[in-house]
Amino acid sequence: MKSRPPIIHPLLFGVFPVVALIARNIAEIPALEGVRSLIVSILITLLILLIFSLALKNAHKAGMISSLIMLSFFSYGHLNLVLRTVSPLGDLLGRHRFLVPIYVGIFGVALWGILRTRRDLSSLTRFLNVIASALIIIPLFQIAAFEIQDFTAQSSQAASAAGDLRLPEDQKPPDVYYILMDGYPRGDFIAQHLGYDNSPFLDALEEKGFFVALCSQANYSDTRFSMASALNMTYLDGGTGLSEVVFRRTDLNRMIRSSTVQQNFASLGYTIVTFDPGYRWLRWDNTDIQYTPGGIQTSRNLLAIGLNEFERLLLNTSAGKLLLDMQVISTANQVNRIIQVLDNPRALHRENVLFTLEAIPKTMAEVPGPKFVYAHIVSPHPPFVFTADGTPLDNSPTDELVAYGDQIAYVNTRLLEIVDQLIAESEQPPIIIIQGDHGATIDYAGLRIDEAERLGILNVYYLPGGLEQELYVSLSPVNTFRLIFDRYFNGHYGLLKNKSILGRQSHYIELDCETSQ
Amino acid sequence: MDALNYYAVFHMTWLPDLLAKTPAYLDPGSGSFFLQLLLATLMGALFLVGAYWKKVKSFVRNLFSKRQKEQEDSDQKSQ
Repeated sequence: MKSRPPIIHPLLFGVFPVVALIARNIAEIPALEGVRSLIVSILITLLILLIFSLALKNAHKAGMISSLIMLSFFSYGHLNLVLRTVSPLGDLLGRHRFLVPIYVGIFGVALWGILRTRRDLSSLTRFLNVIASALIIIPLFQIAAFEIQDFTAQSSQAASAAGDLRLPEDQKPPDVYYILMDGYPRGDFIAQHLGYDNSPFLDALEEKGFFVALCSQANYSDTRFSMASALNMTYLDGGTGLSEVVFRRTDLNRMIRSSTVQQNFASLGYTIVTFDPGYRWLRWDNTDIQYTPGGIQTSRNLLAIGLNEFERLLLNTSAGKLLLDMQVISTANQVNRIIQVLDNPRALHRENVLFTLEAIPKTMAEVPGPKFVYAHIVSPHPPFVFTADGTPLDNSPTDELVAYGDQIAYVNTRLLEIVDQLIAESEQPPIIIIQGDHGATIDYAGLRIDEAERLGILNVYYLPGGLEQELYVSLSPVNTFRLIFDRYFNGHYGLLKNKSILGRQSHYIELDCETSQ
Repeated sequence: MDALNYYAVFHMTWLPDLLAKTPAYLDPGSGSFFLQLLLATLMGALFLVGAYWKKVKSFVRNLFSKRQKEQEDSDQKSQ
């Protein structure tokens, strides 16, 4: 007599979408943020399995129906996203009114087939067990491989210090503040495409003694490339001189998390102060002090009310997308408690941005001795959570270009307050760098804007000691710390030619720029 | 594989912003979701064929021997 196969596939099909999404984003967020989804998914699968087992008195059929439900639920959002982006008929096929009936139809036929059949389903159960096991092995392997690689990887790509760096002899070393504003475009782009005049902000900075690199371009158009390059003061071409990124994703992550800039400041005796940006690959290893915003703590708290960013993405890639999209339709109904729960990631994001903006000046009093303060603030990059005066924006705006301008206006206000405090209250005049890693994050193709314009960035410097003569309007991030180390800490890096590459590989791009803007 | 990796990094990191209106950098990975389903189904199919290989073989053998017998029978009748 043949043994009857265990019915494990429903559980594996229920767990797979969560594990696959964790694996997909394992370099971005800690797996902990997906634990709650995993638990809920397991419990719901078991509940469905139990209900159908009791109702049908047939474990194989109950298992198959449970798997069908879990797979249908978790694949809906993915299919919707794929159809909307890949298919030429995406606007039609990706609509819920079209997709839902198809899904319900297929689900109904499959359900009917399972309920009607009188065949022995042992073989099919065995088959589904194999599929489900294979499915779960792939992302588990990805997660394990990443964690092992992450643990063992050595920082071999970092440029070494040219010459002996040393502190200035005749004065106290200045504190260095590197404020990275994610997705902050250049002034001309803001004026032309976002309909906002950023010149009062830039003028105000100049009045305070800042140098504004009006024509600055990011060396790369994507955060990962851009930060790996800026923080290691090198291009990512592996010395080939070609416009090509030769490093793998994990190498770039490592270059960001343990960079030449960090090592140099640590070797100079600086206290390294950072703020957890919420993404693993942006969070520096081995810092002396790391502030963790409340929103990030909440998103890792299993008992916190409201979704975290991962959970919202999981919902968006499942049939929960229907709920999210319906919510967009009913934006007027803001008192709905469900909306607050669903939109919690926006609130957490706002909390994180505000925390960092408030904490930067506090480091003056809280951290003694020379310090290098690095704040990577994911703003004015979407999501848009602030109006121009800082009022929380609870729903996705209808006009994203206007919202982008508004968010820039708000962070401008906060940045001016911060630099005022830093300049006025620092014991020694500080070095302050405020920089974008790339320009606006918008749908360039949809708006018919040349994607190369994503390279234009905000890039401003407060450098005590009259170094303005050495600065120039097209200074790019790859040279930022070359200049700082050479001029203040006896470095011998020299400046590289400023070059900008769109994505991983393109020709070098130079945007038009009028310095009189 | 590397080219694929880079393509994914560069092009997919923007998708969440454009489509899901979620904060930066998380990737829905919809393409790989369906690719994994496809691969696992193929693996399952291969496993089934392997597990029932003897049955498959005897089925095919029976099929041919049955045909051969039918051919012989019809030859005999025609004679």
